[in-house]
Amino acid sequence: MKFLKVLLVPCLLALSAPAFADLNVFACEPHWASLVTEIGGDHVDVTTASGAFNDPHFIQARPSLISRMRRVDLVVCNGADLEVGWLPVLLQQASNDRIQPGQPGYLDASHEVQLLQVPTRVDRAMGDIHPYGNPHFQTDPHNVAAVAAELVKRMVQLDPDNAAFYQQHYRDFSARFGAAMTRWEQEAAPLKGMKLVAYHDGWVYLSHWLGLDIVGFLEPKPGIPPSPAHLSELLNQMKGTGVQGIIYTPYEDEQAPDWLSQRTGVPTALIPDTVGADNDQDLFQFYDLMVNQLLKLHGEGK
Amino acid sequence: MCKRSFVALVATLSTAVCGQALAAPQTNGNAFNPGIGLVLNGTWAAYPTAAGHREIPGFLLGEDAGLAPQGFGLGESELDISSNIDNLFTGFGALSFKESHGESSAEVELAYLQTLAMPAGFQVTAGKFFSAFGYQNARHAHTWDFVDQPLAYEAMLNNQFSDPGVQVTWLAPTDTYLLLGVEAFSGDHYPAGGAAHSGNGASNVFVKLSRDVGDSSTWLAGLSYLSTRAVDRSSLGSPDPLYSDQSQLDGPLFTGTSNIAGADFVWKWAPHGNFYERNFIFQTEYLHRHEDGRVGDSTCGTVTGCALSSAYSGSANGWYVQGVYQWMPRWRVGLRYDRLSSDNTVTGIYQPAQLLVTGDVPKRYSVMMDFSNTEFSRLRLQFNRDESGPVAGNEVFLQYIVAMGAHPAHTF
Repeated sequence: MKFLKVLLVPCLLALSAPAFADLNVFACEPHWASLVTEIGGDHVDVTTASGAFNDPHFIQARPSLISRMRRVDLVVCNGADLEVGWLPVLLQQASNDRIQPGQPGYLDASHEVQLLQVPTRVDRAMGDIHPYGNPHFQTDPHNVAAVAAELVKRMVQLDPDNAAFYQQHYRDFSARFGAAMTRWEQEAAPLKGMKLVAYHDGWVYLSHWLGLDIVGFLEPKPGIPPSPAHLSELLNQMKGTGVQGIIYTPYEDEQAPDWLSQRTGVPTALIPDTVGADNDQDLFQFYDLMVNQLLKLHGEGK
Repeated sequence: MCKRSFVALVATLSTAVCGQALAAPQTNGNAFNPGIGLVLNGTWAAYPTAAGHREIPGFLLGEDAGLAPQGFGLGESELDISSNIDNLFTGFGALSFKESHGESSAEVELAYLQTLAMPAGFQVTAGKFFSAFGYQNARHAHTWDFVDQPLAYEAMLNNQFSDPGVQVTWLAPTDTYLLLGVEAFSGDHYPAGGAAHSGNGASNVFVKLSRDVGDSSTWLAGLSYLSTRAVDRSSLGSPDPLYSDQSQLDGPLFTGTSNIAGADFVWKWAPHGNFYERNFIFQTEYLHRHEDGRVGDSTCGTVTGCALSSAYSGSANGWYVQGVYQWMPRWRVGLRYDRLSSDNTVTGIYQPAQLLVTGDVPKRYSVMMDFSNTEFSRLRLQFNRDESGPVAGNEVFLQYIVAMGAHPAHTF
């Protein structure tokens, strides 16, 4: 059993003692981590499963995430099947009854918002469609505000000792966020009716919020990478339609957007769909960045 | 807002107050139907006919060893049913079916329930399930990175060890993933056989460790020890008289112990964890087996009292190393190298040819390329230079794997 020792000893030494906050939270996406921190401050410890640079549909069910999920009190995820490829494995293997679906420790954010693009017919020939509706709803801050109202209830329920703190911070956050939303909407007023082409059909909430008009997608069908045939078709479609920008996220390949941009002269822009793609460290900076990128594109595309 | 679909209903039971209902609640009971998925797996294979009669010198092979049928074949396709049973249990069932030379066969591949909410990080699985031995053993065939299992798994585990039994695991409350587990099985399936010790013929202990390195890499390492008892375990013998690319189960019977120690290591890399665009998976395992007992001729029916029998003691090693690289969305290439060795002592008048160790060590080189249009469909081309049998040969495989309906999320 010598080989057992050789492998085990250094690994056991590497096991770090878990740091426990009053409320331990597992956020599937960084925007929820940011929201939890706004409300919970130093009383919470948040782990995030995905980042601005990876596609939330395709996260590996890493064992470290299972370890983390075993010890948390609250899980916050977009839901609506966005994480269907990995979250169920984590929930099943974590052996944590506090965060199973149906428990107060499992917050499916999609239940708090009005989902758009709910398909009337579900068929995988249509691509990677989501039967409950489009799950990328964090691109409209009003949805985040709606989730915050439920989140604070859960945090109070799970950690009543800090109830006053959470409620106070929630009120403070709501006031600041409400003001910020008004500001973003004013700043983005010129964007109304702006025509865009997007990589993935993940922007319906953003276009709904700011009145954008997304006229086409680089993916022929959701989840199917851009093909030369589809790109040429899109190229023809875009001629003379006044499209002002081609948008894609940091986790999507820039080749196809660049190809299309070179042939149409329409500029591209990286628009992150969650916190942390650039120097943005919280929800406020994230929407700032998003609105600024769009305004910049609007200026260039004229 | 609240949706009255099953999933939403479960999730909102204890929490949300429903505002408007989007759809009327279903009343016919279908709302609680489990997730049903069908995985279809088909192959086309080309290789010298003699290679289909599977022999690996030094090893008594189980009945599932061997290559896919020559030409077109329906590989192991699978009907999966999964659902939460209640707040404490989740359940999974899989029926697998295949067709070979006009003969269809179906078997219960998996049927188990698993706890969801045991305290202190414990989890219990009961039923028929894939043992957590090694890394590759518990992976469903449709998630394999090559058409076939590594040689070590083919020669020592009959491709994949599953058996009725129970598993208890404990997940340590640490940032580093540390999983300890024990399993007890009836001992009906190779490398066990005959449900020895009143149906407690096999057990396995294992430990798994994993950590992330930066935001792009994760490693997983494991150690396992599988101890089994076999009673009159049958093995592949002569070529099938009807189909010479198949073998008959008329090889030596074995009664004794078959114990396997395994070490496994997997490293997965994707820039910023963005698996969709690009990733690399490195995987290696080492298996060391010791068998001790008696072998007897299959005509005896049982080893005990068989005139044509001998004492047999053998040790064997097997390892493989493989790498799979996805260089752009949907396209992957993979390389694998397999190697086996054995050292057998057979004392007595019965000297089965299968246990004779020749000078050449069995080995195999594999290269594959696959294309996955979505995560639900995959087409694969694989080439093997197979030097594991008495005659070296080249093998070409074409494979499709598609998944329909509900599809459980994949483990790491």
